[in-house]
Amino acid sequence: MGLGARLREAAFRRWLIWRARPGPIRAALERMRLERTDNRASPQSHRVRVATVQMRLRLIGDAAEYAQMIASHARDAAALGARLIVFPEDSGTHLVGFLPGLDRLPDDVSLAQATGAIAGPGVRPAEILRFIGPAVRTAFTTTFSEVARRLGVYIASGSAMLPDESGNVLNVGYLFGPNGGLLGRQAKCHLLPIEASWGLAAGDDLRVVHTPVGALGFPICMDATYFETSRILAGLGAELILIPACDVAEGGYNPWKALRGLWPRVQESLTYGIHAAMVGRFLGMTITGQSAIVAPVELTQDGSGVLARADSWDREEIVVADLDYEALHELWRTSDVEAGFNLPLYRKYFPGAYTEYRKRHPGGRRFHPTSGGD
Amino acid sequence: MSAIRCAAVQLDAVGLSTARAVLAATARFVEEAAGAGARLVILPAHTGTFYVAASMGVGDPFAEPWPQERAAEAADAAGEWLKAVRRLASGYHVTLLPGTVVWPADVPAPGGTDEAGQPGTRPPGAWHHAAPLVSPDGRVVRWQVQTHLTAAERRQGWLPGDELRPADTPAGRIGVLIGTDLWYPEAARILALQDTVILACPVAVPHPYGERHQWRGLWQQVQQNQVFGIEAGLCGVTTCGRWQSRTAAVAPVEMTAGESGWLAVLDREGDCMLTADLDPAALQEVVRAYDIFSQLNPVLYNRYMPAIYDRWRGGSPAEARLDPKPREGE
Repeated sequence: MGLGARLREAAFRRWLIWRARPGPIRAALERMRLERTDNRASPQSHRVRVATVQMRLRLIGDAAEYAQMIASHARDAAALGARLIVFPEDSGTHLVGFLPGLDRLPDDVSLAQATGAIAGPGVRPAEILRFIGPAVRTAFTTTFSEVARRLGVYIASGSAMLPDESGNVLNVGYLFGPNGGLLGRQAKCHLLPIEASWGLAAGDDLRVVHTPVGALGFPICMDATYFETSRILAGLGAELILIPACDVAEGGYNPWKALRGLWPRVQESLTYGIHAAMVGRFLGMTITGQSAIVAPVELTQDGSGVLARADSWDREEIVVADLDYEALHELWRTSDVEAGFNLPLYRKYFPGAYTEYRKRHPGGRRFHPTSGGD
Repeated sequence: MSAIRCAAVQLDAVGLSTARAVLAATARFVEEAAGAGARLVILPAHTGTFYVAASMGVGDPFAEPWPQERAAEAADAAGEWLKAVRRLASGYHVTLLPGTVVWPADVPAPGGTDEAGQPGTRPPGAWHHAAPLVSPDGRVVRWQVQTHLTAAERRQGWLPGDELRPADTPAGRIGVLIGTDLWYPEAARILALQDTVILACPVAVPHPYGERHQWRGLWQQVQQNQVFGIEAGLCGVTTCGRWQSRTAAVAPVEMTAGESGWLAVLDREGDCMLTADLDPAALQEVVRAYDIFSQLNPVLYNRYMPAIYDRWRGGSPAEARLDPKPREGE
């Protein structure tokens, strides 16, 4: 790269960071006159009202507009009494709109086409995300921190695709407390194969944050397809697992496909769960999801394992429900499932079985013809 | 790899009150299944247990623990049952999972080999709940002991197995999960990581039936492991209680009508049978298009999994989970 190109790149980078600076974000939120809630006061301390935000994905090129959009959803949820508000996966992807020209592309352009239009052929999305990452991170974290502080609530941010210190681009979410402080950060540990092809990297750690609104784990979307995620979080003490999601569903919403995620994980590991879904059309993709607050079937009156669920899978909504941690703890004490774990069996096979599997299938899973003779 | 026709038999426990009746029902359905082209036949849990109990004159096999002094008698009766079902498998040339049997934990099972596993390798005074998987030549190719027990089953004096291994059969690589094993995702994962293609599951689900219990059981294990699953269940009201299983065949959602994951489900109680065609080539295509296992994260699991399980001292994580922790962000 020549000197001129390097200077242009540096200038562009600074321009992006300038667009994402916190000042206009704070000013925009100030204009909204958000009122700090008194949701912290609860007559029954073991009951906590929580909310999930079902939100539309679209490009937003202005940090102040983005902050006001997030704050508007959070304010509505807080007004319903929520002390914890959960946003969907890719809640920071709106900010890719910082890139000039992206908003002028046709609606049905694919991600690959969009990437090509912005950066030229052969450039993987991760490279673009790495480039704009510092600006997106500033706008994203400032927004959620400020909204949590101004409303006095806990907020799980959903996620944004951001570079880490090593330059790896991760799909990462944040948890902010009612004073605006950062309580935890969580990278997605199980990617979609297409995310891997974009150049994203998977996280390799899970954490539980112990808060007054519950001991929270907040993995991301596909993490809920793997029982290991919820088992590890349960082992770390999780009472509540948050799953921000952004599911592409070209054939339309399918409740059976959706059933492969959080609901069974909650039944297996006996926690509460909050699923926050992104919806809408974005870069040629149809995104659907039905946000829900779920519980072990034993803790729901109708035995459904669902405390509350969105009415739609393609519109913006807010869903709230009350979680009863005393009831959950009682279930832990009495559940037959809890008492039936077979630790010698697990110690015998885990984690070696994964390593052995990888050795046998270095190029992907292949079923082999069986022996036995017929 | 061509499609495998599989038959899952649902039995009413009322008809299993004598040893002769157990064998007659088994033979009738194996004949019917073979006539329908099935190469794999699965019967419900406790088909063998009822045979043994009836042979011993025990009215309700689940009312109280079987006394140790009757272990030899139980083993003899179970051996008779095993001999009969092995004859059926070879006679009709099918791979047969003839249900399960309660077996004295210290008595080696006839037909068991080191390769197939042995249910009777534990101290006297305890029992195993186990299933033999019989190949079309009448050999027992796998003895699988139930690995996850309910509190009621433990009170019966049963011990859980500590091994899960699939077996290669002409019908494919089959892993056996029994009853409550289906509620523990570790069990299906262990078998799937050993390249199991079909989860064969004899069950006896107590009344009342709840579809959501089935969703969180076999259906879920099939989806997260991208395998086939067959659940053969016990029904009916006896002095032992009421069972209300629902026999079903399950596949990854992409392979089924309406993308529901259900290949076939029996919608009534009583003696009946379903068949389903399991196509390993189609399953391979599903995996090729979207390989869930390609994104397993061994680095993460290595970091936590042994330690997480070790924290669950005494077999129950409740105590560890209830330890008070400092709360952040007050």
